[in-house]
Amino acid sequence: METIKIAHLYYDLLNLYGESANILSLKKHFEKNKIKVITHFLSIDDEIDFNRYDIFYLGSGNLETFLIVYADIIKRKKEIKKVFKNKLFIATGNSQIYFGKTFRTLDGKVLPMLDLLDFDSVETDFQIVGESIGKSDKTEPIIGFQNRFSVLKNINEPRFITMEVGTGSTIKDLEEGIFLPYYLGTYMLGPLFIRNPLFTEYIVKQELEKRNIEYIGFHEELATKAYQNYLDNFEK
Amino acid sequence: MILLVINMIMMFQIIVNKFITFICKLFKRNGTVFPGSISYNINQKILGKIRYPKYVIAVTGSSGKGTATNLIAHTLKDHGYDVCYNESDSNGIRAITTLILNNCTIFGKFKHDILLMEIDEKHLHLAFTKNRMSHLVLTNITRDQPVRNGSIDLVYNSIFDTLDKQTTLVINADDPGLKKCEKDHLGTIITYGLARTKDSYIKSDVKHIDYVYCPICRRKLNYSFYHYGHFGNYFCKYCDFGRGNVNYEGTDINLEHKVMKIENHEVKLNEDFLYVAYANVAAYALLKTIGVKEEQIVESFNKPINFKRTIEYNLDNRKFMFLESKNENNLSYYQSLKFITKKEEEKTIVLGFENVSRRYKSNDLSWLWDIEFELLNQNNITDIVCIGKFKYDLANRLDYARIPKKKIHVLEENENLSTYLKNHTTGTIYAMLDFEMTINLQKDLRGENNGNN
Repeated sequence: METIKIAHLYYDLLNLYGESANILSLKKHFEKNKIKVITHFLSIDDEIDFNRYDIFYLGSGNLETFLIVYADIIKRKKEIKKVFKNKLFIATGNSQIYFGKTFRTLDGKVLPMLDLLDFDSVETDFQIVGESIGKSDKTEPIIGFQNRFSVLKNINEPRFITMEVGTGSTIKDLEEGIFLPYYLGTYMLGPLFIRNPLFTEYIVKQELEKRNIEYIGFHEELATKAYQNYLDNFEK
Repeated sequence: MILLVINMIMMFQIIVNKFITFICKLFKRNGTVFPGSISYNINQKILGKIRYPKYVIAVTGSSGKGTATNLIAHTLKDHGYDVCYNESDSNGIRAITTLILNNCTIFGKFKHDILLMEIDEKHLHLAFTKNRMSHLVLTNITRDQPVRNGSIDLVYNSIFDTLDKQTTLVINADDPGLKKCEKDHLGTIITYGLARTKDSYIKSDVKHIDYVYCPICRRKLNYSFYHYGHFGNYFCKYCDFGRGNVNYEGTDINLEHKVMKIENHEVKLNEDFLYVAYANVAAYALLKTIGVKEEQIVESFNKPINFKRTIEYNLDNRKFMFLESKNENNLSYYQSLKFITKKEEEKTIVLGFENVSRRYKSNDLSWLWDIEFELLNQNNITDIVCIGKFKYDLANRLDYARIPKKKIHVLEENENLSTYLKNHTTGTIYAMLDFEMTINLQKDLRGENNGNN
């Protein structure tokens, strides 16, 4: 049986609201496709062999936990860079910032980030919070929630969501989220994969294709009804 | 001249507040928020103009503030103190404005010896600038209402921006997120907490807790035990931060018998929730700090107290218990679930909400995934009925918690809940619903809805 290994990085710090649910959702979808899933929960000071894992997930944090993680993840820059384009890194909420070039704090400090993707980020002097609905040509509308202290800028990466409700990566435009074969980052946080079962299917399918494994498919009935109900009610 | 105009505006606001409250009462409307909304909007600095008494006591935090406030008020009234407090659950800036202005002379002098307020943690800074509060009781800060609060660090900053050294803090030291205020607050700090109980955990019973790392040196915290969530006895191996000894500790806690001890006095608990034990020791700490004699406190605590988180009804000779449940606050919701699971009889649970919050329209559902619904995997829970606009989200969460599908029922909009419960479920019924649903269902159970709910 094929096995996929997921590393939930900084699970005990980057878990602003309900984010561990994303691992549950991925696991369920892979398992329904006859893939065995092994999940490891890793954090500060843990030994992490980045070669061992196929998928890395980082949830969102508040500024305090973001900075605690920063001090640790920046020490692993070389190791992450080595594997970055051969794996799938998923970052929801503020953890996207780690993957860009720099992060400028409100007091003017510019912190160097992992420098894996071509964008910078800036701390905002207000919290951006609210429901979000975005359209994407990859899947059905994506529903979610944002709760962030930053914006991206100088973005030279393709974005895949056009916000209909909610804020884009930069506030000034409605484009949001970066989706590459090896990276998915979005300001939508919380149980994103649970709430968007069709999007999760899309991601799982992509991962299986990379491994030349046939996608069997899995229809999550309750999650799909919840998703549809949300959209119906939102439009009312 | 400017001063005269300012005073005239203040008098006008007070008169408007009193007049609208009178009209509300005349038409039997709930006048706890609306009068304050009008007067607050005339000049939002009005509460800074009032001449307050010596004791201005606020109680705030993510949960448990209402219970603690009621207990403090109950004790003070019981012993003849002249106390004014918000008896209704309304605790936002507009309700606080209504309360204060209604209890002032038109010249802005507060008329009672003690002002006691349960106040929303994000509205504290709107009500009070520095130098106003004599005492502030802080129950806890946990993840709660993300739409409004953002995150716990923002709530903390919002509270502490309001304080200066003249305010005596009474804090729950079992919460490391509050204990860290020792480095921020220059005034007196009184601490309280609960000793280990037979139900304490070595490992947290909740997966998603807010303080795993030391808030001072940012290294991993150690716990000798947890009560629930991140509340417990913690210490940092790398710096001197820790819960340590507290000024007031609840000991010998026995929830089954609803008793505990504070300073060796046995006190009764109103209900068998651990948060009630926290409220008791918080109230005790505050009352003793302001000079109420411990014998008086204990005497009042042991009298029947008329506020509860649970209400009982009857459906077809089956007990039907409503539990107040706070959406968006995983620890509060978890306490209610835990309460249910401790009951040994056969039971049915009803879960539902039409809106996540009564305060705003945003419906974030992240919090559902921070709650351990896995607790409900019990043989004596026979059915769980999901209702309301988010019934499928709830059912999906239960499914992920590996609750057997045959136990999960999703009630469609055209089905009557009481009829469904009678025909399809067994055992005692526990309902955790939002405010409107609770009111509507209670009417139904009293036969006031003529079968429509």
